[in-house]
Amino acid sequence: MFKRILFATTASPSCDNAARVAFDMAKRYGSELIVFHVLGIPSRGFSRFVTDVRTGEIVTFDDDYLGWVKEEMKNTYAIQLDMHQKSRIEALPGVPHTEILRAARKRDVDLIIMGSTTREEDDGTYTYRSATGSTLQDVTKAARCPVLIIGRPVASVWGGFSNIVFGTDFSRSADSAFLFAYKVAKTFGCTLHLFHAYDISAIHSGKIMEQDEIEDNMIEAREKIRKMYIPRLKGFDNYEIEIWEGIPYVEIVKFARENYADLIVMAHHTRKPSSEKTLLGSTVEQVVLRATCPVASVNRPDKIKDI
Amino acid sequence: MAKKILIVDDDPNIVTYLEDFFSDNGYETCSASDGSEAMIVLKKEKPDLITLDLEMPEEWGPRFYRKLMKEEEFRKTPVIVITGLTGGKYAIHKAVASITKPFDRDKLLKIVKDTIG
Amino acid sequence: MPEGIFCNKKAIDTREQLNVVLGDTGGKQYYEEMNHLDVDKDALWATIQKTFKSRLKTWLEICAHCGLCAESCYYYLANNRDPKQVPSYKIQTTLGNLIKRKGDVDNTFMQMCMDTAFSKCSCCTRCGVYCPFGIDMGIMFGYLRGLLFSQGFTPWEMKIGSGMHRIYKAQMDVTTEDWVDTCEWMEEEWEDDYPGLKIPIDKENANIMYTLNAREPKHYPQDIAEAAVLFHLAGENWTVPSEGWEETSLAMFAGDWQACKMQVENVYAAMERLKPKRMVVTECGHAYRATVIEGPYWAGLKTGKPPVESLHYVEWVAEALRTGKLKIDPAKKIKEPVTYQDSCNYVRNGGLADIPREIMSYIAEDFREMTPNREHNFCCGGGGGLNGIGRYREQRNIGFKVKRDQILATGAKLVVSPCHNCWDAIRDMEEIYHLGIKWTFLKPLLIDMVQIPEHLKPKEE
Repeated sequence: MFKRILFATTASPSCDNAARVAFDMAKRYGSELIVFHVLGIPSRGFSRFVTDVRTGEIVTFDDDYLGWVKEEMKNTYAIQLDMHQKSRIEALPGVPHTEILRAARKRDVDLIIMGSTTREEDDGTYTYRSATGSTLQDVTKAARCPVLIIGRPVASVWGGFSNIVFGTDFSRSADSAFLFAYKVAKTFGCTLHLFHAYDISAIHSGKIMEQDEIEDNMIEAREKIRKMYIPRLKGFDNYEIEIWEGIPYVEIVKFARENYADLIVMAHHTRKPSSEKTLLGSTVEQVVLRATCPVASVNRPDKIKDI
Repeated sequence: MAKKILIVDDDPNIVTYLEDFFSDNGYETCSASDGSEAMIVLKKEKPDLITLDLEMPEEWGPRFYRKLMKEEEFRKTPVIVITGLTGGKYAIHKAVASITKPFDRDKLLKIVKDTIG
Repeated sequence: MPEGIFCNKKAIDTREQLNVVLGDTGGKQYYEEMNHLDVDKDALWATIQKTFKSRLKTWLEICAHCGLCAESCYYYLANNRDPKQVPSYKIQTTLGNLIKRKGDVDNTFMQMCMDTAFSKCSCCTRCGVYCPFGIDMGIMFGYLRGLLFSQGFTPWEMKIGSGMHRIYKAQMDVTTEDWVDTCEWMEEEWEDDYPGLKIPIDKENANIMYTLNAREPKHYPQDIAEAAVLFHLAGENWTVPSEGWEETSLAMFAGDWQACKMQVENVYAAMERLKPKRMVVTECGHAYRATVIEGPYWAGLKTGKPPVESLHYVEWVAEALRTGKLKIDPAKKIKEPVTYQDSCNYVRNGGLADIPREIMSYIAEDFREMTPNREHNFCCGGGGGLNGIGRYREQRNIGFKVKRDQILATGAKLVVSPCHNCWDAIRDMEEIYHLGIKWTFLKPLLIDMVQIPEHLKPKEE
């Protein structure tokens, strides 16, 4: 199913966990793996200078520098590259999210794998702090294929898909996420949990709902799942439906943890996030930071063909 | 009757080491080198405690643990996670304890004693 | 040694040679060979006799050595009023001497000319504004650069840049395929947020033909998307050419007159082919100057104007805001103190000083002018290709001080800078001097501020 995977890395320790997942998946599913590193942000006007993504220093980009970066990458991933023959290293200058999206589009990639770093001191986070916004946000927003994000080290302690949680907000993008979750479940014989978190977070603004009202809405959500998704599970019956009330990202994380999920599939909003929105704004981003397993952000049906 | 410990780890050195260590301290042992083998051994030997490695060739620790949870007879068996992976302690959060390799065997022994006697 | 492998008198016009020179890290071997480069004195004098005409001759001769140009030059001010930085001194000791000696000069002299022409002058032409005779040393240094180029004494990056133009008709190695593909990609990616967004390629008789800086498709394609969105929201009938889409001219900085001509002819050909009513160039200062102001002379157009009426991006923005084609959401106007960088090439040299003020009146609530401003404003410090030249980084960083102090004096937190070079200069300035400011092009600013007409809004899910 995953014929070609693009693993976007800073080639620094902060991406070690994502690397584990990428190489494991490539081996497990026989995929071609592109280990992709964008190494320096170019200037706007003509120059040979780039801002090194790891140190933030201005360096001259030339063949020597490129060669040196690739050597370092080969050393960092020496063991994995050795074990997995269908993998190769690529490095180039550019704005990270632009080049990642460009490569994913050009090579017709089925899956992008990325790590998520949030701590300022982390090696390799310079680009993620750049004035143009977060690489992760920009890639997940625009990618044509699913983006698998490894937020915490524990999310890489995993070993194959067998238990999937599909979190839905019933949006159109969630439709694509559903297709992806279903396809993975069917291909690898997994259990598929269709989960909806009923949002009662208005509680913070003083609006406390009656429990009957909450549970009425939950029953309605369950009906909605039955109508929207179950009919499309043609003959696949290894699924469960669950509705929990609470703050959506908390409920999804808890549910996945309790059910020992090894993959959460969600839709990321496709609208351009406004410049005021913080990095940790949306539900997906919070889930990525807290989940104990990888999170797949799926927006578009492009790369998920009909089964 | 001596308590039995199931050691699940793909590294034969660790298995031997733990087998010797636990037997010296009066426990019976059995072992498996990955998750799928572990399930078979579990059902046959019915241990009182399991030490569990996480990253193994065929089936990883977490998946084995999930299967364990589904078995009515075995789901209450205490598990101690022994792993070299960062973040391993969050992988099986209901484990009795989580130890990183290389580990202090006396600490491990104390946890075992506190758990099953 | 007359000609080196890396450094020689021949312009780069093959990919092989381009790669050879590119492969020389930082131009180390290039500059080493330059130390041994002979001066072809006969050729040099012959060129001078053909091209050094009455205007430049008069300027050199009538200079009264009054020193009024001194304080007009930011290098003079930034370098503690070093007399050697007085523009008149700079040009007389280089071009002046060259002429006096009838081209009979040596390698050391030519390298000194190169160092002066590229690290002591960014061709901002401010001196020409203050000289009582209107003697423009910026223009003369431009001319000198041309002479230097013909003899091979050009900074490494500039030699490469002009080579790029000769080979790719653009300042970067972007082929027509890459360019068209990038347009298609941007269309796909931004369609969701702006349904119906199109980047029409090679449409004939459109109202606007849009041209760009090659860095945009190469590294910053979202610029293209942003421009497309703004045209789309304004309801413009616009297009981009598949060839002749690149406006910039590193060849102009390098002094490669032949390449300059080739480059603008490419753009003019696109104009002839697609017959737009007008041409709009992206936010780039020297691109406007090269194609709209100098270009017709290089290409020998008798009207002194490009085939089609041509606008700098700020002119289009002002018009769109003025006529209401683009409407600003009042709640999103810039509230923090903001100032504007008057880029030399379209303000002082292009005469468009009023336009930015008009734009700022629509989009900012607390606009602070720099002092001085408009056509009297100082160069960002990185013009004339200087931002890209590694050899002269130190001199450039000192030159920054004047612009730095100007910005700090305004108390602004944001600098609007619709020019790629100025943008880089301010970025580097911030890096070195930690001013604590933000800076931006116009497009991203406008995208966040404009109201989207109802019929163009994406449908709610």
